[in-house]
Amino acid sequence: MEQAKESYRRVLQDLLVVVTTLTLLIALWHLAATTFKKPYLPTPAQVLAELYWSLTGGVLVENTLITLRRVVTALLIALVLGLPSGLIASRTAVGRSLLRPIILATYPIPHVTLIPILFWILGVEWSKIAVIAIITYYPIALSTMEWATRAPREYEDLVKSMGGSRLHVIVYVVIPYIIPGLLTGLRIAVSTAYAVVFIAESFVLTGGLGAQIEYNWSRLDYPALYAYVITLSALGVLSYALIWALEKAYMRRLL
Amino acid sequence: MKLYIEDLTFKYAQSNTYIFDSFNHVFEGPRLHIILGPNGVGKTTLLKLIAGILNPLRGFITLEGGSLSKGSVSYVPQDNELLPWLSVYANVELPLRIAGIDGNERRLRVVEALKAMGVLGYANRYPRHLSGGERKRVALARALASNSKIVLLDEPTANLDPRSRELLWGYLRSLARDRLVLVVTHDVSEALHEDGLIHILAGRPARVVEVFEGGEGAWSRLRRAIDVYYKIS
Repeated sequence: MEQAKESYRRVLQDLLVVVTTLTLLIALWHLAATTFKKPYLPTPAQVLAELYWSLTGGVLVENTLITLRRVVTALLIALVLGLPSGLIASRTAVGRSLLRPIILATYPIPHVTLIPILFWILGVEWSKIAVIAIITYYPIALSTMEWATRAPREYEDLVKSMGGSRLHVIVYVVIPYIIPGLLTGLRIAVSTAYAVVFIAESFVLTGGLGAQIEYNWSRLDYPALYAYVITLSALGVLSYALIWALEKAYMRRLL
Repeated sequence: MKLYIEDLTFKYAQSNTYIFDSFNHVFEGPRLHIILGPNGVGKTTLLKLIAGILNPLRGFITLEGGSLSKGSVSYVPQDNELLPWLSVYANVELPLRIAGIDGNERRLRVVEALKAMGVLGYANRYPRHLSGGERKRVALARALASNSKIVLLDEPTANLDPRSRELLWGYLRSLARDRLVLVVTHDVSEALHEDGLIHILAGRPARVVEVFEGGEGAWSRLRRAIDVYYKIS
């Protein structure tokens, strides 16, 4: 009961800090906008009005959903490929000598430059998803690889002594052990995903928040541009916070 | 039931010294066996070999002449005896899941075992919320639920307070009524427990140098054995 009260108090405190910081930032922004009076710096009220119109008109929701669908699909692909390949690269002899060097060697390549090639191979929509999936694959595969090699031997022995197979060791020891590392990898992947989705969506404009930013920038409609930037940033922050909360909840159970 | 160890030969890959070289011994059950010996003699290695965690270079470990199937042995290591990411219930259930036992029977056996070891109230907790003694009892419940004929425990009472030690020994004795229970320890006072058969492991390569009944009467033999054999390794 005391513990629940304490954590409730801490959440309220954190919330208060966030609200105060945001209010201060908006006040500063308003001051700057009204002082300098530049077209590229609209007031918060102008941006808020634009956000309201885009929201009620349905454009904002429609484009947010397009972006979210692309990011979530790409992250799922990255997870489905990153987790097993990370496990194979660290837990099997063939993986260690073949797959691991390939993952490590291809990691530093600037994958975003692949968009034009992917465009010709996969078409407009899937090239956007593919480039996000490729870039987010690396933090997931690398953290899986790193953590899977560190899984404690005693727990593996315990499962083996129960007659457990290699698959049992993976399911009951390695995967639960790497979850915190995997979530950290996913947290890094998510922040990268929202940066990459902007580049991918502004390459060929077929909807999404990135396309809207690009479109409104070319029209010099700054309030609209800010509205979409804020929405994209909010998505990034919310996704990051969600995974961070998951990570904390899991760790609380173990430590 | 008899656990035969025949011609057991083992050394760690990175070492030149043989821990066991043509080691022969028999543990008869149901009974509580206490394996004593100096640090580093090979007590834990012996348990790991019986548990199938380590593979011998040569030799056999058999139960009544038949090969030792992995499910017939329960191993409780000194530390990390439970998986921290599974609840107490799931930890006890794990060997039954691995053995492919169906859900209803699994539930019955887990609840019965938790009850027998006095830890049913902790079923939904995670290992980090338990004391050292409670964790050991959950590990014993796991051995009980899996119906293993042989239960191996490595230093089960290390780091436990005197009351938890006594409680644990009580549970071990009840477990040994219909099982072969092998307890490894380097704490000689454990040998004073009634019902236990003491095996002194000494030397390099290790061998069983003395076997005698536990209890108060064992003290003088134990002191002599310590004087003679604990200097060897």
